[in-house]
Amino acid sequence: MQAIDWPLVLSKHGPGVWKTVYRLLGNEADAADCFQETFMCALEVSRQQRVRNFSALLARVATSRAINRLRQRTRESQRNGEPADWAMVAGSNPGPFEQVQARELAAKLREALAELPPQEAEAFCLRCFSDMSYRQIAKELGIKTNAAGILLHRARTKLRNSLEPVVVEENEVRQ
Amino acid sequence: MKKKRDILNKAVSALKNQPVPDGPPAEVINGVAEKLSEAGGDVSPARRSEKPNLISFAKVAAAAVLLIIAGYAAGRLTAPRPPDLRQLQQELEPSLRASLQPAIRQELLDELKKSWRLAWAGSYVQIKDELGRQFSSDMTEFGAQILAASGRITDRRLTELIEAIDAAQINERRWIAAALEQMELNRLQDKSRLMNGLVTLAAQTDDELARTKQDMAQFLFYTRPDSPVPDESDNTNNLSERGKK
Repeated sequence: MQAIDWPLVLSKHGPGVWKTVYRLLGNEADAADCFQETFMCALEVSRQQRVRNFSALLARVATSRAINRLRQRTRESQRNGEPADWAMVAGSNPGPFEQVQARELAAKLREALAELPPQEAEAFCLRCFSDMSYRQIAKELGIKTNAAGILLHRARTKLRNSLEPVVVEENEVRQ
Repeated sequence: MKKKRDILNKAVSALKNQPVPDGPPAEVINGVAEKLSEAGGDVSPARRSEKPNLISFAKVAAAAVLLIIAGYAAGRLTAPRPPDLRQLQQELEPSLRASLQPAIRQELLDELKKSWRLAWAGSYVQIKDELGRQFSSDMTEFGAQILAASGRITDRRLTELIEAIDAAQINERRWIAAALEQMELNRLQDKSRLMNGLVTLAAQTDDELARTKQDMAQFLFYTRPDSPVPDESDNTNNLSERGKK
């Protein structure tokens, strides 16, 4: 087994992992759970195989866990018929229009990511939020570079289709 | 299509630019560090490999027992006289017990601790999920109640505001009507005063004109050389005389 200084790993990569999970989940409680799960999963992985790049491993695991939680949350909210996140309900003082619009767009993108197949969502997040190259994504997901490209293309197409109603709404608002 | 691409890029940048609080909170880091250390994440591989598990220890113990038995059997076969079995057992039992019992006990304790930990972790996740669900439903109910209450309060406040505005408008209209009435009254008074003033002025002007005419006639009469001496009684400049006339 590989000897790992976990406190060092935690202090070095913790902020990055936190940023990834918080950005995808949008609230502190879920982000904290996901953060813990990510490091426990990384511990399990390090027991089974030698880890050369902790940054990439943690980014992949964090993205995967966050997407799983996002999917779970969306499914639960659909089942219970309640809004996915109470924090997204507009307050009494919503602020400028652009800010509200950006927040709504981000929420829609989260919902759309939760609807994607996990691998496509992971590939998209690793590309867009962790700025990984196609080769790195392929390596992390254990697939070929071409397959990573195809996953990303599919993810983008599906996300655009999911966000299409927002474009229509925007046009209606402008008219 | 371009619009769709734009909206995807916009959504990605919106999600990227959403504010993220700095770093994980200290309690989360401490919790994770604790979990990692509980799960053996801080134990170096050398130390971990030194720690035998129950199976390997059982194997070693079995091998040792077999060796002892084999040695005993060989000794018995080669010995000229068979040793006393009971005595041998009594001699071997304390030493074997002393050597094996603490280690086996320790291993069993470790195994039990591990299984307890696993069971606790499983139930912890279940309890956490249940609590999470309960919390979520409570929060939903609470949120719905708050929204309903705030809606009711907002409606009441709006009704009050509308009533206040109506009352203010009625007051304002009354005030304007009173002001208009007062203005009309003032106008009528001013008009009557003006009329009186004009009548007085006309009368005075007429009076003054007649007097001036008379003065002019007198003046012309005096300036003529063959005019007789004017009668003092005809002098209309004399006010007392004029009054008499």
